[in-house]
Amino acid sequence: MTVIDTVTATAARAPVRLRLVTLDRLRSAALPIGFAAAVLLLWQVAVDIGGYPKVILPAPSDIASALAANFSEICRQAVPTTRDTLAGFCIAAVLGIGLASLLTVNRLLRDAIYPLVIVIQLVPKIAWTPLFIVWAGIGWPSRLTIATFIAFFPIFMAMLAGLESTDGSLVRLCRALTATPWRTFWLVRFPASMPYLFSGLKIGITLSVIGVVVAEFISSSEGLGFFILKSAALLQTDVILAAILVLCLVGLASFGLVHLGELAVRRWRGD
Amino acid sequence: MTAASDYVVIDRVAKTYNPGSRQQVDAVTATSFSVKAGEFVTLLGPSGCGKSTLLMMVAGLDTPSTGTINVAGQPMAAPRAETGIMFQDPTLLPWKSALENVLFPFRAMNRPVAPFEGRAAQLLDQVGLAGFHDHKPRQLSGGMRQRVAICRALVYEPDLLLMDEPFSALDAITRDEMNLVLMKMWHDHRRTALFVTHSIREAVFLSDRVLVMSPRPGRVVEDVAIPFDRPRTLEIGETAEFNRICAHLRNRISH
Amino acid sequence: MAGRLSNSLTLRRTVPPLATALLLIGLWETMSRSGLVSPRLLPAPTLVWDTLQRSFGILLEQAVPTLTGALAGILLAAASGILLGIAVTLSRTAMQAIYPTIVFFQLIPKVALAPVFLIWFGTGMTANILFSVFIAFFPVLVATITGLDAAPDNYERLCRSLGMSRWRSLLAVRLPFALPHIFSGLRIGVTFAVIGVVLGEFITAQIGLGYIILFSANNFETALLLAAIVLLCGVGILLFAAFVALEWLVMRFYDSCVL
Repeated sequence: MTVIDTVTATAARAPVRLRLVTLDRLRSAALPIGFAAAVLLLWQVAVDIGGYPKVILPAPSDIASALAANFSEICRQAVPTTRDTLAGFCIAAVLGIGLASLLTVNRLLRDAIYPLVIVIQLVPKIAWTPLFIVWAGIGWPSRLTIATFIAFFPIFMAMLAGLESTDGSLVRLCRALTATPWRTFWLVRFPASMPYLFSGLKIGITLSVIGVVVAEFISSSEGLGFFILKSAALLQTDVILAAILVLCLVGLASFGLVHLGELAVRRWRGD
Repeated sequence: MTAASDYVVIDRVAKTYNPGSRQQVDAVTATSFSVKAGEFVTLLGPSGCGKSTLLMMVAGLDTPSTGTINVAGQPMAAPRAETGIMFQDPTLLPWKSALENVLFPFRAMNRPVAPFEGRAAQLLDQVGLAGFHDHKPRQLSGGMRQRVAICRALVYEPDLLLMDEPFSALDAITRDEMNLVLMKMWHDHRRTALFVTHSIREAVFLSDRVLVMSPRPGRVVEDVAIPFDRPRTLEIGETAEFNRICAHLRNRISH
Repeated sequence: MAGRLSNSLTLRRTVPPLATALLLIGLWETMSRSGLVSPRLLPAPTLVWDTLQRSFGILLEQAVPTLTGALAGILLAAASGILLGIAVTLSRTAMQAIYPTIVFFQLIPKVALAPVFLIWFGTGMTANILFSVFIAFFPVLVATITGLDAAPDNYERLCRSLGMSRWRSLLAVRLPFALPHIFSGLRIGVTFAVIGVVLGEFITAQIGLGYIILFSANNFETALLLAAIVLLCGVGILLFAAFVALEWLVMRFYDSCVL
């Protein structure tokens, strides 16, 4: 059969392409690592030769030793930051997905609520942080609320965009097959919106970290944001950068979790 | 003109979009025709003549501005579960296998799926997709995807099959192949069929009757019976009779 | 008749959200008036409006450094982001080397570096502006790179077969394809620039609407806080609108000129 022929022909060409891909992969991995290493090296040499004061520009080695010296303290401060980030993100995800789903199924609710969300979205959301602290105090509830608030919007917007951009002909097919709106939602719209949802979740998780850190900057007695600001007051730039390094790891790890979730969903969808 | 054996009856149907506004479009004007049970009828016309609009109204996906449509003796108001439909694009769920896509109508109608798995697999085998049951749509060629769509339209044994230019996005060779597959499936399952195309040869090859539609606002201007015996092969396309009918239809479309 | 049709659409678009907004504001007003919620936590909308009118002079005065800071931030970020984006896409090697680093910077919480900017540049406007540039720079850069890659391959082939120089094809083909992406990056950049300045004002606590917001939060003057947020929204919308207008102008220019 002709189709089988095509498949076999493609399979025969595969090894050549595979080798090319491997070479390209190697190159695209080596180049950025090399670039980053070069920047670090240049930084170290510049500080060593230029003799900049440690307060202004600590060398990578200074940051490493600051990290080693303050490791247990930094890790202790990282715990509340991570906890509030993830919890805030999860609540935002549930709320964002839920509200977006509700608005796609009910036309009137969508007309009534969506424009308001757009208007609230225009406000620089970081600016609300002090208000939440007034409302919820300086403890973890306010930080959680801020993380939820700031992560909610991209998740909601992405989910709604995904649900509404579902291939019109698929929806028409469902209508022709006499499927109810809820069944159409569950069988077609929801699975079709997954790529959108995950792009929203990825923005949401990075914003969630930012929300928690800003809240810790403004008013807190724990967390990496608090620790960074405290070190800034003591002009310990090397300690600040060490803490930021750990914060980056927290951020990347949370992002990685969302990415893993996306891979799992893709695997389930088989694409 | 309405006889007892008429399965689909279109009575003075017209469709106007945005009536009264500056964007008013008369898609279809006062058209009447009927399709007998078990008959394969094609609506043939130039692009934008309203033939797809007519088909969508028969499917219950659109409502006529005036006139009535009766299917199986019942006036059409909403989509009915006994109609099988094919669109220009295969409209498969990208994240489901070919077999799951064929079974999709049962899920959409919230009916149990398990009893029909055997039938779905058998249909896929019949259209030449044995060994591709578990492939995802993106692993299939355009023609193979439309074969899946044919199976999906037949799996719940509808009494009426509606097809909206299902092969117009395919290349000419695949299109011939698909016409044969459709012919065979229609022969084996024998449903009343209403087909829409702008390809004259496709219309003549597939149909018992071809209804020629005028440019917009569309209406049926001629009803041509196609006399070839079934089952048909691609070879009939080379006969003088076939080409004579095609020439006649081409003439009717351009006037 | 056409008017009636579009009127009914406009009605459907505007009435439900306006009704909901009025309902919410009314609820808020009665809750605050009746003492169900302490006005210290949630002052009534009328009180916020009064405060906004009463303190408008001070608020406007403090809005100036925020607005100019954010404007300077986004302009510098736009210039550097677009230029670096063009430079990076000119070389495949540079692209492969630098792009992952840029993506990495997109992912990490850059706001945490705000205190470092204070150490480097002091507690004045300079630190605020530079921090705002730093935050707004990345979305512009990423959008520029994505956009310059957006022209379909055949256009590149067409340019080559017409013997166009690299610069000419960049200007005549790749840039027009990139512009929608660049402008969407700039729109994100504008909001980021405002956030950068406000965050700087939070931390240095000397001038600007960010300072007012933090100050009133510390003193539980919630009405003043909300009034300052309203004005900050005004600043954000003003900048956003300016960039939408700029996009319109540039697109019109590209439509009308023959390159």
